[in-house]
Amino acid sequence: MTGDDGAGRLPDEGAFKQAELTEGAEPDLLDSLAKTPELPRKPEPVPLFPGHSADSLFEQHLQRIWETMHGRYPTTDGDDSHAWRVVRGALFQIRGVELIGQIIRSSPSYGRVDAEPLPADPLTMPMLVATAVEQIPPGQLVDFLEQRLIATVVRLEQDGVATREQIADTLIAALNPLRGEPVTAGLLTALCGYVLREEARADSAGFYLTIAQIGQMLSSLGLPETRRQGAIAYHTALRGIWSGLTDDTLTFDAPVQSTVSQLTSNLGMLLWRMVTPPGRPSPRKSPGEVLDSPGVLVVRTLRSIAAVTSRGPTGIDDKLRRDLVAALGIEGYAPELLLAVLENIGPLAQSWEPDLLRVAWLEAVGGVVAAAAGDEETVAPRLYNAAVTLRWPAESGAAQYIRTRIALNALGVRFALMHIHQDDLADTLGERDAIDSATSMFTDAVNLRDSGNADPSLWNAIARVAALLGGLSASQESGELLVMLARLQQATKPFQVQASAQVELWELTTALDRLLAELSPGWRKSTSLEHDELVIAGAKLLRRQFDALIGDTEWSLPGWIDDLVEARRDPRDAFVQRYRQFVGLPGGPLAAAGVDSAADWRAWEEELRRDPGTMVPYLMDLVAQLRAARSG
Amino acid sequence: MVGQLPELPVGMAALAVLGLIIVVAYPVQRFLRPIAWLVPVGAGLAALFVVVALPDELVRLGLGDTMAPWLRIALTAGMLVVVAKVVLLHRHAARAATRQAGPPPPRMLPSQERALADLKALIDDQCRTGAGHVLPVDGRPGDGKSFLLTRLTYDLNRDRKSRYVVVVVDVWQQQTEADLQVEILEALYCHPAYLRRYRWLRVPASFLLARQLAALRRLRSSLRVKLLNTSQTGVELDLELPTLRWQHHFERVTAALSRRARVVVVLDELDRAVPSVTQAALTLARRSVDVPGVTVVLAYARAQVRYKAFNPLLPSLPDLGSTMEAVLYEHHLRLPSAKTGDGQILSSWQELYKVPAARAAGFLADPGTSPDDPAEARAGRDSTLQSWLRLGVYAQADPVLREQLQTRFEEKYLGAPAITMRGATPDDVAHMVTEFDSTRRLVEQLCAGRIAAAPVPDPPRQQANPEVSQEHPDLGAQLREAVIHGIDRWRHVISQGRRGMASPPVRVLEGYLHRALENAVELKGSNGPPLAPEDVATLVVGVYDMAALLYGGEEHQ
Repeated sequence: MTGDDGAGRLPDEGAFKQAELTEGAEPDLLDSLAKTPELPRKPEPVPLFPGHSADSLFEQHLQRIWETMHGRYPTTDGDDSHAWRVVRGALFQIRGVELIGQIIRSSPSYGRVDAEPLPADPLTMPMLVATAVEQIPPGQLVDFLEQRLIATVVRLEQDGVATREQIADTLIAALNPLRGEPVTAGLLTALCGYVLREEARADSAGFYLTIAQIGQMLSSLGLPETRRQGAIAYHTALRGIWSGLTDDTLTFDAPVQSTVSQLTSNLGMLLWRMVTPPGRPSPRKSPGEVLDSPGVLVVRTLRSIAAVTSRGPTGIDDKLRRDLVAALGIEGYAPELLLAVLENIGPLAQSWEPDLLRVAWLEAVGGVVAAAAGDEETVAPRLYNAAVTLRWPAESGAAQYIRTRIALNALGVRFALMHIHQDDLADTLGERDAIDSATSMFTDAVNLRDSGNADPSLWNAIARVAALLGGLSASQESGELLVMLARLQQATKPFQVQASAQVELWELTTALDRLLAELSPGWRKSTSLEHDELVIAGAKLLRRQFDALIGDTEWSLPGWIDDLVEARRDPRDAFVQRYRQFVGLPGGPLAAAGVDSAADWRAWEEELRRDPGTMVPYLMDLVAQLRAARSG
Repeated sequence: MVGQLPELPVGMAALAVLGLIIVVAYPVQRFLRPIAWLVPVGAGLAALFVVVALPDELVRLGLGDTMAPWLRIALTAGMLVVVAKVVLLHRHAARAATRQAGPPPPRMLPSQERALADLKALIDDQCRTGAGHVLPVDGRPGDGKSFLLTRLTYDLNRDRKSRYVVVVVDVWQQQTEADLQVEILEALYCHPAYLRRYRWLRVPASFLLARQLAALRRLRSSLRVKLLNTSQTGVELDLELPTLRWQHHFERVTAALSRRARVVVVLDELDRAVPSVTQAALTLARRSVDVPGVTVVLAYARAQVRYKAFNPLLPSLPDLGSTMEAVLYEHHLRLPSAKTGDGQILSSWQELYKVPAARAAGFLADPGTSPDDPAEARAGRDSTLQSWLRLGVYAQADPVLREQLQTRFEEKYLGAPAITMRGATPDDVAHMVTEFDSTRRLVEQLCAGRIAAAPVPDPPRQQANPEVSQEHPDLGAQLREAVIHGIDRWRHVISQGRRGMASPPVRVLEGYLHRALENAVELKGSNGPPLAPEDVATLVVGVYDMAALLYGGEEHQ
């Protein structure tokens, strides 16, 4: 679990489209899905261009020309090898992706679909492909891409019945298992230009969500250039939505609002990484320095839009809202507006707030609000990040700081155990990013002991948790999960406890409750804490822990939160007004943040907007690279 | 004792000098360019003396005193006109000299030579009939239309005793319709055939200020709009400025020129101009059909002109717009149609209300709601009818019908293309490889042989590449044959598949060819074994195929 997760996925990605797809298309969809399990088991389908990349296809094309001229194919070691190398090299240097696409389109094979495309109409194709790649064993994904997806894309492009947006959605669904793989960079870049060709006809949030998903996939590759491309894609989508809203071709309905929130949230996080030097919590030189650098101001604007336009924590009833606000000691605001803001500002509170203690508190509060909303997957990371922030103050080595960090991570693990099944304990804790929380908790406990501030009862309580968590084993062959579990087991060694062979869920929750009670005497030692009670207990724990650190008897929220809470009353207006400054600005937010000049931005954007004409050569390239990586 | 000096007849003398200046004005402008500026200066000074002195001298000779002021006014006006014409001569002669000073265009490709011969033959045919004609030259960007017309102009103007007066107007450079009109007339006035024999005296003096007047008219339009937009009191500046009577002047100048020669007006870059200027050019060309002895050659890319001129969805000049509306009206309401049901031309406006499609489209208001003012009501109905024809009929037509309608619009102004440029043919490519200096040098480096120079008088050939020492007298012929047959064979091979092979535009092909040959020379290296003509031809066919795939389009197969 790292800060990378904060920029994270679009949690609702595809949700709107799936909703659209479901409506009115159910019979076809079910029919198509019913055929899905058979897809990988088709008897040796002949691929459209078997084993070819775009380059090899172009070479084959040149070989045909050579054969036409010479009456024989060129050889690499014969008399004509030198001439062939010269001719081939000279033409290879001036070819472009458009040319490869044209060659494919003009090839007789393009019209004669040897491989069988997937059976579905363009509307249901993305969901069908998503289902298919989920069911396909990882080892057969490349075969699926080569043998079925390329033929499908050819069919969709050739028939002209599918929009480019639909084809892009299909490809995004197919690439889902390859998220974060740098090998997809070329295809994703081309895909962006491929879809943006239809930007003028965009009339729904779905189009911009497609762009956003491409941007998210690009930025998640972690390369400097793909991060920029991701940022440009986000801005392009936001600018399109902004224009649609201002000229009334788009309505600010729920899908648009969610898309805006996700886009600004992700773009803000992406920019934060660009303007923040590695290894520091913020671009400040000292904790008290005013956060007024251009980059931070841009990030703050983006995150404020995200906070104001987010749909807010859903699934929290009024009573829980009131109780939660009271437990946190921040009454005086409309609870539904305030909680929505707190849920969203947490990840980047440091772009507003100079006081790191308050930053940590806001991050932790965001975690509890997410827990209240039932968003278990983000609770532990948020609390973990709050604990990380508590490492930055000069006094972070003090016992109270360490105890608070332990409490935050223990609470994260405790929340991650909500609504969990016994059978997949380790897997679910891994999915909810709680294993690193546990590891960090044990490391801090050792630090506390080393500083001479760990009383035996606290140590015993932690040791008990270590014994239980040290025995976790994964049921899935996930490399990342295995690494996390190995780190966890390493962190439990100083406790010198025998790891439990069989970990029961109730044992673990009981041990965590005991630990939390040791850390914060108000915590109730009980395994029967229901969801709402657990949330309130967690909120009270935060209040007590941070009370001890900050020393305020009266809690008060920073003034800038008032502005955000107020702006939530008209989120459309907030977006239109706040994003206006970037719409007409050459270079958009990156230029405003001082990351890139307007000229750099234009060059990047031009590259990203380059229309490849067809996606087939990129798919072939991807397949070739994946095969090469496997054989290598 | 000093006697009174006899008064010199300065006015008379000035008048005589002015006459002399008029007599020698053109020869001086034509042959003594360095001192040509003296002509308008001298004419101006002489005219000044005439105006100042001549009336008094005439009075002394017995003209009544009361006539002197009137005479001075008349002389002033007359001298202004004369000086204006001399200034115009100076300007036009300078422009003619500049145009004639251009270098000869380079040699043409075989297909361009054929097209040029066809074009000349068409002009010759029309020369015999004597009637006005329009010759459209169609082609994609980069197909060489402008080059063809440059060569045509050069060839026809080269002979001093030519039967043709050819003027070229770059439509793209004109900002407005008025600019275009002035440019066409000026191009004719500047032609040496018109400047000779004192025809320059027929140029209207007002032409000196034609562009300024056009600019003033534009200023007036914007001023009026601003006043109407900003003033609450509705004040309107109504300043009528004289307009150029283009058709009248055009007929006069062409009548003068066509006594001895055929006038050929070449309108180039039609498709690059703003829509209003493109429309104006087409309109002027169409009008010239009624002028005997005039041929207008129009170069355009069809798709571009269709969008800019024959597009009812864009604002149109009145005559072009009304022509398109008439076609739409006739097509939609006259032809038997399920939409109208009656199959008859409507005899009155009121009958349009009976057309269900018009009502359904929402363009027609209830007749009972017409304004009280008949003029206002008529204007409103005209506007409504136009909107319905453009937005209700044309915009909602299916693509096939829209194509038919655009073809009919085109027919009214252009007719079928006289010449269609179809891109580079195989022999063009062979010519590029063996005759163009830039590519030939690269080919010679690849083959390590020298291509025998073709017997071409111009342009002067450059020195052979010093790196190429080995003589290879048949290299050029072998390459030409390999390229031509190679392209033909490759065309045949790919025609077995799904597609034909369209010819790429010349300019695109030339660029690709040069880049590929440069790459090949670099890859071959200075010490690498030479390539055989078939190998170079393979490279050329590859380039041709590449350019055809990317830029060939579908229409010229």
